[in-house]
Amino acid sequence: MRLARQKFTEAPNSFMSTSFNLEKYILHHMQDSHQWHLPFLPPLQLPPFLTLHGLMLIIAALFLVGLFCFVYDKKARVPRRFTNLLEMLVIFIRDEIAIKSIGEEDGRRMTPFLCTLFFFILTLNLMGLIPVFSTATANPNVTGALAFFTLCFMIFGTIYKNGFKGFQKAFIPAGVPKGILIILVPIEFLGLFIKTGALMIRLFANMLAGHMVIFAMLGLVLLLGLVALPSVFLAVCVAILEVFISFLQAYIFTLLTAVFIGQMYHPQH
Amino acid sequence: MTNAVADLSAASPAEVESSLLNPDVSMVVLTWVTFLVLSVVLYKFAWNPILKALDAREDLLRRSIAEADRIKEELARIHETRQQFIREAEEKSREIISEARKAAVQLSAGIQHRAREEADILLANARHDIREETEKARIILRQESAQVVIDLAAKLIEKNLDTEGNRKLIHQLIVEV
Repeated sequence: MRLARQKFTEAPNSFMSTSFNLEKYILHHMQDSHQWHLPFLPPLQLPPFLTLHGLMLIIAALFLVGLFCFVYDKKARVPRRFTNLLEMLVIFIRDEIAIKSIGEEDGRRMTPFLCTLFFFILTLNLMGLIPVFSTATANPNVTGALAFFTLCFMIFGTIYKNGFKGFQKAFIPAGVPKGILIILVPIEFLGLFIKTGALMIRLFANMLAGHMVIFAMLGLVLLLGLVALPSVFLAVCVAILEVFISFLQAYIFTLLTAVFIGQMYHPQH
Repeated sequence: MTNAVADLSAASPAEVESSLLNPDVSMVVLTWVTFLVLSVVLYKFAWNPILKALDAREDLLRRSIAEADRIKEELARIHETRQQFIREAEEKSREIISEARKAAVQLSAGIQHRAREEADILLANARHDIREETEKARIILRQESAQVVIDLAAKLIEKNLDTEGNRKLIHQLIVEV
């Protein structure tokens, strides 16, 4: 790593033009494109309206539909095996995330949305770890679009539930002097967007960084040859960590969505 | 992989950043569409039935547990009643046995008493009989011995009737007898 950096800093131009470029190598694997690289096949050219990450979204959605409509055994009175695992996650989302953050009645109503959010993000995250696929959640457009749903629920969900006055109440805490409200209300209002913005950046940055580390380690082998072979072992370790992070980030995104919505629905708490 | 490496040409760090953080409206719209369609489909075919089934199962579980508790209580009550019955039956049987024993003792005492009475009667009868027989025997003996004496006397008289001394002796003997 140090050697690579040295070379970069010493003679970036000559090195980049003549030999392997680690930065470009990483970037190539991270950024969105219109090509899908499949093993033993020429790169698949995607249509202009569909990028690789967009394709990943569609594959993940189809996978989830297949998983929950065909694999999940809804008729079983006593769930077994895979159904049991999925059900455990669904119950966790309902009881620990939705009901605890939003409240009994609204929590139950929001559970389908939160379940979709969790499983969609989780699938996208985990797909990024499978070599053929790419990580759509490492794309800020995707995470931003998902965080936008959170924002929608925070604004329109609250207006729908509490009325416009109830929505205003979320920015005006009780018992605060009027002078301070002049500062507080814009901050609270801005917080709405900052919260969802943070949601977007957290997921995107986490997924991007993890994959960058993996590709940096694998890139060392291409850059330095067999000397850097031990870094493959490190990359495997990071990939295992990434599995955990995939679950964690999906959980955090879902939990924070629920918490933010809960805060808006019940402003006094 | 080699393909990918070959594709790479020089790029400035700014370009790298912009390509990763590129705002892409079509991507955002695609995410929305995918997510919304996924939400609707999963709500209809997955979450709604799954969550309903979960609620139903939880309800069933709650009711089953309550039912099990109730059955357990009932069983305990039945057990208690049974124990009560057994205790009562034991007590009754003990009573019956003791009563029977008492009756038996009474009965045996009666029997003994009667037997003793009968035995007494028999004994008294026997004694009476014996006395009678003895008396009879004594009378017979007396008669017979008198006969013997008479016979003897007759024989003696036959022989010594003449002698005065004999006469005295016979007289003495008769007195003695």
